[in-house]
Amino acid sequence: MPILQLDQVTIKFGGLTAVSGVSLSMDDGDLWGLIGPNGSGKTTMFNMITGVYRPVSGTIYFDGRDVTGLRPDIITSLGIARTFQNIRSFSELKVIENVMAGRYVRQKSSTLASILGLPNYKREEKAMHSYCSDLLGAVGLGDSLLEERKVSELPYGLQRRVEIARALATGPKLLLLDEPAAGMTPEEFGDLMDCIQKVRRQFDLSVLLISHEMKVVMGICENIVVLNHGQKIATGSPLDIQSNPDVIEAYLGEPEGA
Amino acid sequence: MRRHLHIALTVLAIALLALSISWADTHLNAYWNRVLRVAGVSIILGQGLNLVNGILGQFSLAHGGLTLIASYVYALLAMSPERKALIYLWKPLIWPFNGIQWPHVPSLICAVVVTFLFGLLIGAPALRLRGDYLTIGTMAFTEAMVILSFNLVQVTNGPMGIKGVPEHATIWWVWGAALLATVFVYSLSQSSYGRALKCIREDETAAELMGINLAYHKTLAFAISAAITGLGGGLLAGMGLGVDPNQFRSVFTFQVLMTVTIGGLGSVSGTVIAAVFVTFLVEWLRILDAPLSVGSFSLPAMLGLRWVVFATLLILTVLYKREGLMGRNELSWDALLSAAERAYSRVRGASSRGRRAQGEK
Repeated sequence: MPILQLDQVTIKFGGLTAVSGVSLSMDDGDLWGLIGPNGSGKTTMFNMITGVYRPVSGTIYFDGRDVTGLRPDIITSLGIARTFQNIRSFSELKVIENVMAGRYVRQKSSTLASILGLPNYKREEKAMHSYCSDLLGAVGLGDSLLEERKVSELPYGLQRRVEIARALATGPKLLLLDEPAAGMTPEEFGDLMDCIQKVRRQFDLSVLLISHEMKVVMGICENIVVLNHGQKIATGSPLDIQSNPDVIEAYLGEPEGA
Repeated sequence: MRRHLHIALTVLAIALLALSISWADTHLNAYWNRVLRVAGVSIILGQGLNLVNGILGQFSLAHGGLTLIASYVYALLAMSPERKALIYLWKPLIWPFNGIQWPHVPSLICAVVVTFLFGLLIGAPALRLRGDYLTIGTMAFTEAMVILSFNLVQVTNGPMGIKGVPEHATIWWVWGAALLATVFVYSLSQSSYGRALKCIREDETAAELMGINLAYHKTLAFAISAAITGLGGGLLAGMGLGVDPNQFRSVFTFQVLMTVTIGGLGSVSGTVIAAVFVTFLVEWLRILDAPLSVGSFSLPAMLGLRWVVFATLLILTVLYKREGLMGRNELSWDALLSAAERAYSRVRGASSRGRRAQGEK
């Protein structure tokens, strides 16, 4: 059964059609890339899948369930988590608090129990703390001193990893990564790719990632979807995509003399 | 070991507080007793405001209106029917308030419950208002409440106000409630619910995408904050100062806001320190309102000059120390202990240096 299925999804902002009639069907456990030139609608796709925008037409199915236009927090609780193109950490909070904020959606104790600090909440909070420490370890931030630092004090690359850990903490089945390689040096790409592969295996995830870094996309994605001007122009394996004339045209323009 | 020390220190601090309250209760004159109670109420109101403006990060000015509601609810319930009949001269008080008198505790609980419900009422539309619009909307709420209380004469006695509310709010009550409110808000701020509120403060969109239900969290925070404000408002009415619509104008909210800002928006311990500091400073600065004479130079009495000083203080805080006294940090035993250790070693270092210097002579 497909984990994520889009059926003729369209969204318009005023007169601009940002995404137009995109369909795709992604199987459980897949790792897909979503690429396209700037302004082609990649992040808008993420925003529709996670409930930030409601498509004007079309349907989004997650795990066999229609999630079109549901509230973002409900979609997250169903099992879709994401990171952001421009880092959106809770920057004045500690690293561990950021990750635990992600885990909050899975908390079983009531609000009252947590405010009053009742024993069942204390126990759950302790378990949550150690689980989130482990998550930080899984993304390569396993350091008890680092956990207690404010996110805003960390370098950019590490902040991105905190965001991935926070997304993992929500307990997703599908992880959406928006430009995870942005701002990284080419030397860091290898680490990032290892990290994505590792968490995917460890947490049994399906991953959809947006990236401009072809090295990353071609290196780990099994299948690639290409958007241009809000339309899907190609889909296929990295090799197919690299030789697809439509994709080359979208990125480089029409060949001279054509 | 460390934990036991902290518990021991906390017990000690509470015992010390109780001792000082009992001393103050018996030894202070009526004036200082009242100042202390105003400081206690100011702590409660500060914690209420801090929850929404500091921890949740929504700039609300509804607290004047909420305090007003709580004060009237408490006054209408706690006063005797005879007393009410005496002061409602213009229009008689409506049923059922004209015939009832409740004891202190139920009246206070009722004030808290009513403001909690009002908090829910404000919280719901406040979800749609962001930033400045929320500030304007909540300020309008406060003004509307003031105008209503001027005009609903059958309920509020209009501009004449209500005088002669039984003075139930002793120093024990006020400071007990202040301790309760402070511990409660602190516990909330350290809980996973409080963490969720801080996430909303940091980045609302990201918080929602991490699975935090904005409507539930914000509305509940507004309601809890309103209930704490209601506790302060009820006790304020019970202090026997009288309740009148004018006192809850925007200036009232600003004063609470100023207290919390000076203490550090989002810091529970900062609010306590600033509430006590500001209350005492306001009293001390009363000398500015009286005629001043320094040597041959004399100034006629200028009522309100102390507020000018306060406004300046607020401006200076915002300009040079925007995070306030404490920022978003909290006083902790660890921090206090290490500060004490440093001070002790400095004193000892200085005295041993002094001895050595003397020896050399």
